[in-house]
Amino acid sequence: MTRNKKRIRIIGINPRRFERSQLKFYLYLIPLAIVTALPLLFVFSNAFKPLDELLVYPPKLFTTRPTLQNFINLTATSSNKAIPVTRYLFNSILTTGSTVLLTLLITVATAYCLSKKKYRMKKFIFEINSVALMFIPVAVAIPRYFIIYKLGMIDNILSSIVPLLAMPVGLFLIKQFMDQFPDDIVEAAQIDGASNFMIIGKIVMPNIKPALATVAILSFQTAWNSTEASNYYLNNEALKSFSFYMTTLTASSGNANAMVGQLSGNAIAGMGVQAAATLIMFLPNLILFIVLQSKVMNTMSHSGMK
Amino acid sequence: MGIGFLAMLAGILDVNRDLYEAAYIDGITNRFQEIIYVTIPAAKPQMLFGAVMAIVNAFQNGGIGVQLSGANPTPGYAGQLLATHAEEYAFIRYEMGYGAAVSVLLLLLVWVISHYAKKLFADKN
Repeated sequence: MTRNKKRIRIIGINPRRFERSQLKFYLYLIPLAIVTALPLLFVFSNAFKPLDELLVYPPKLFTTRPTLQNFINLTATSSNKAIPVTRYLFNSILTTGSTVLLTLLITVATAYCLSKKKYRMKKFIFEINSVALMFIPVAVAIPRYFIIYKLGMIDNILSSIVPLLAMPVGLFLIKQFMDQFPDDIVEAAQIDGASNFMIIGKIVMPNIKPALATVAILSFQTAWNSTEASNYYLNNEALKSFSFYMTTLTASSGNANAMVGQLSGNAIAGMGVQAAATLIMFLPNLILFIVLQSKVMNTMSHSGMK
Repeated sequence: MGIGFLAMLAGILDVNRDLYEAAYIDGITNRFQEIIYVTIPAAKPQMLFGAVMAIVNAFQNGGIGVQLSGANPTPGYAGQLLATHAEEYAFIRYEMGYGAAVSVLLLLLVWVISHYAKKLFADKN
């Protein structure tokens, strides 16, 4: 084993592009990826199936006659109501966007404090956050309602943003990630006269992008799928979210057993609408994940800090 | 697993490439040793996070039984878990006190177990 031979192997650790020795990994990973992708494929093809194929048993993975009828029906479900589907979509997009942005800002600032500042009770505060991570949603539902009520946010679009801003998971993750970021650089910036906000914005943020991307994905998913505010805090139909609208579709048409009496038409037609709505609910999650995931990779290959 | 997977992916991607080279110079010879001596120690904080989240989610996930059977309590109480138990007493039987007590118990349980996980994965230095 000469030094030269070792050199060659070192280059082989992380080849920049495809190499023949990677074939064995693909042999294992591709079947795994196909199994994982099957439910996604099912969601996609379900949305484009005509009604009779949706009800086929056993269900077929691919549709033979793709159609856009489900999406047309989806917009038609609200045509006889005061509020169109697009209003729910707009609410969802607005609240989700602001939730993600504000969550990122608050979480990064908090994590910076917990990770780089020195003060008493720091460990204790972080421990409180870890405990907050472990609460089951059921346990906080009622206290949360009281807080929203006392803040006067009932029937206010803010009530679908504010409760989601506190994100123990994200704080935990970013703080852990920031601990790996060397203190010396922060100190150097302080000596150069940077304020705390400048340190966060110009030094810490660019270096914890992978963690930021992860937290962005998480908070997006929580906010996008959340029906809590629409169920409990909002009475005004015009402020409710798209995920809530989807649950009303499910409730009125999804549970076939409970709705046997109403099978005359609407309940079955609901299946297709529901499949289309599922796809619309699911698509942003997928797109965001793909975009941010490649961003994670990008930051990684560019960040060469020693 | 979602969150833990993302965290670990970020952690593994963040491992300094030079560490591998240094490790080869220090005498490791194969990929398995690479994982044991470089990747896992370097990604430990993320693995801790993944472990804690897995524990928390495992205890909190009571929904599947309820979703599949379409009823809470599940038929014959066959699929009842602590989380669904708390939900049943608090929001269906309206015994809020008992429901709250169960959720505190669940919290303590998760807390103790994740403390043990932290002991396992915590950085020694």
